[in-house]
Amino acid sequence: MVTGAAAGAAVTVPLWADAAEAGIRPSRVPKQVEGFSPLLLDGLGVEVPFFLPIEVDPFVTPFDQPANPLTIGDFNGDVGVVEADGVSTDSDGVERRWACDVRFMDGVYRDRNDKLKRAAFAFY
Amino acid sequence: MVDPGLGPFDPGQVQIHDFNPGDLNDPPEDDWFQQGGLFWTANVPRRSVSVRSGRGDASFHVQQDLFDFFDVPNSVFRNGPPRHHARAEVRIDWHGTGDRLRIRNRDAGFFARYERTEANVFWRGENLDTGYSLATADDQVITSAFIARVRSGSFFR
Repeated sequence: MVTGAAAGAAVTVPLWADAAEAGIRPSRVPKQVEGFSPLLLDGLGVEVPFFLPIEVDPFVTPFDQPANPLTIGDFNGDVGVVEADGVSTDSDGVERRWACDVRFMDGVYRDRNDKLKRAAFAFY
Repeated sequence: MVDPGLGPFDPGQVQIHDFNPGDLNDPPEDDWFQQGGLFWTANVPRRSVSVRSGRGDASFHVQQDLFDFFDVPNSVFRNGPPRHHARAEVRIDWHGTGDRLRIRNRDAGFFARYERTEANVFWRGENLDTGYSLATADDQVITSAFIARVRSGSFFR
């Protein structure tokens, strides 16, 4: 593991306010990514518009072609993907196993009205 | 997060917390992918992201309001206990290894220039309704890490 040199400012993002108050107007929301994970369909029985790290990572995937790593459609920009797990002691003093899949997407996209927008999104 | 006494990580283990932002959607639709929402996706400030493509370096540092759905099935089907308010502090750094790939997936409609990376993850999640929290440890296993420049949909054609 390496601690990267690139720095980013930590900022707080409100989520619970009414969407309009938060400035998330309908025209700014991206489209869903096309397709769904066949692995999640097998596991959950539902078509989820998202692909697992093992499906999207071209360096490790066993599939012929990597799937789309984005969770939004009609996008041109940068994406970062990391999947990790480990064991930590929680606030109750109990060791717990954790796992995470985090992605950022920063670039331009066409919203649901086909308007060109620039923004950043994250998948947790 | 799950009880480690159950053995190596397996999504089938009994999960007790699941932190995610819900599925970003157009109001007044529910923030649920089954109603058109973006699965576990939220807006973040552009200044929370830094990318140095070509070197494979990137960072994502943010404090994000989330929800605790307790487990994945409840987050996907919304058929369990009501979600709690939660908050996460996330600091992730990617560092390029020099491995690169270019892939055009015509069936899925995207082109990507990939850079394989190492990564370091700090992730602290707190359920604000109960006070429960857990942070990642330095002793972590990275099972997938890369950055990519992607063109999809109308930008691919």
